[in-house]
Amino acid sequence: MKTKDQMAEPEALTDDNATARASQGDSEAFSYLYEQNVNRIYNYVFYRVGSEADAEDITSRVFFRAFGHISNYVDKGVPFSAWLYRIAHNLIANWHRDNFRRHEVSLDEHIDLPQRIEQPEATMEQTQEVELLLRAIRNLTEDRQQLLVLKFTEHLSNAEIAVIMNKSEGAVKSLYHRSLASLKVEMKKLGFQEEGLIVVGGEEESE
Amino acid sequence: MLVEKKRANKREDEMGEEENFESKMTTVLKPVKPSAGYVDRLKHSLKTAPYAVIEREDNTPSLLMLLLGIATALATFLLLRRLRP
Repeated sequence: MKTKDQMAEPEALTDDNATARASQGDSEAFSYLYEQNVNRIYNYVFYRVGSEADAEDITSRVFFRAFGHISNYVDKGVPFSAWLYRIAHNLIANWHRDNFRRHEVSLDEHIDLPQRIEQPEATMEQTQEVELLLRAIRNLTEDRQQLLVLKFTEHLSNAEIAVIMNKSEGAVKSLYHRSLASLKVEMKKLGFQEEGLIVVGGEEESE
Repeated sequence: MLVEKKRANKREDEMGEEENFESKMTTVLKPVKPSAGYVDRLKHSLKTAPYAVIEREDNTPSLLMLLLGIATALATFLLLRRLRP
């Protein structure tokens, strides 16, 4: 049995009600959504742009844009994160376009791998290999990059990626296989060998 | 029969290779977290940011006025041309 005071208290924030409350101007609800999504959006942006500074800048812009347009947000049963990913994708596309205008991206461009990647056993060699892998990913088309990053760093299912990319699940599945094939080609171009592709924890060396 | 078996084996090999590649990618591409300081700063900025929505200026009324002006001028010109002896 609830008392009058308890009944007057606002409903606790959950994933289900936070979006509706945030769109009505509830700043606490928006903070809740921010906390739920900031890590994943930063992670996604970082893997698309390759530098901490740019990832921080773009992530900030994603949330400021979301904050500015939250009153227009219409809940269509799609997760709020999908909306944020789309904003991030558009801002990253603008960032790449502006970057390309400023200077042609050099193949030797340094990719700023942050220390916070949780791989205490990582060696210098592995870091270089990760850098090359990221470079290979960035040589792919925008939609392939987006798909691979969502798949491998966010571990999203094809259905979830389909919502974010506004495609059918079948189209995502097909694009995924094409993306993997293209990635292998890019990796070969950058000098990877098919078998000893990436050495993780010395597994490949021991074979 | 032999050809079909070979094809099936090849397909299995390809699938195994793809799974192997996928698991390596998953192992290598670790999630990256932003620094706690950055997360707090951004949260604070969002809380203190004035609520402002930047909207594009709607040019439709101006364009309609312009088109109406051109149409009126054209109509007047044609009317005067007809009235001229």
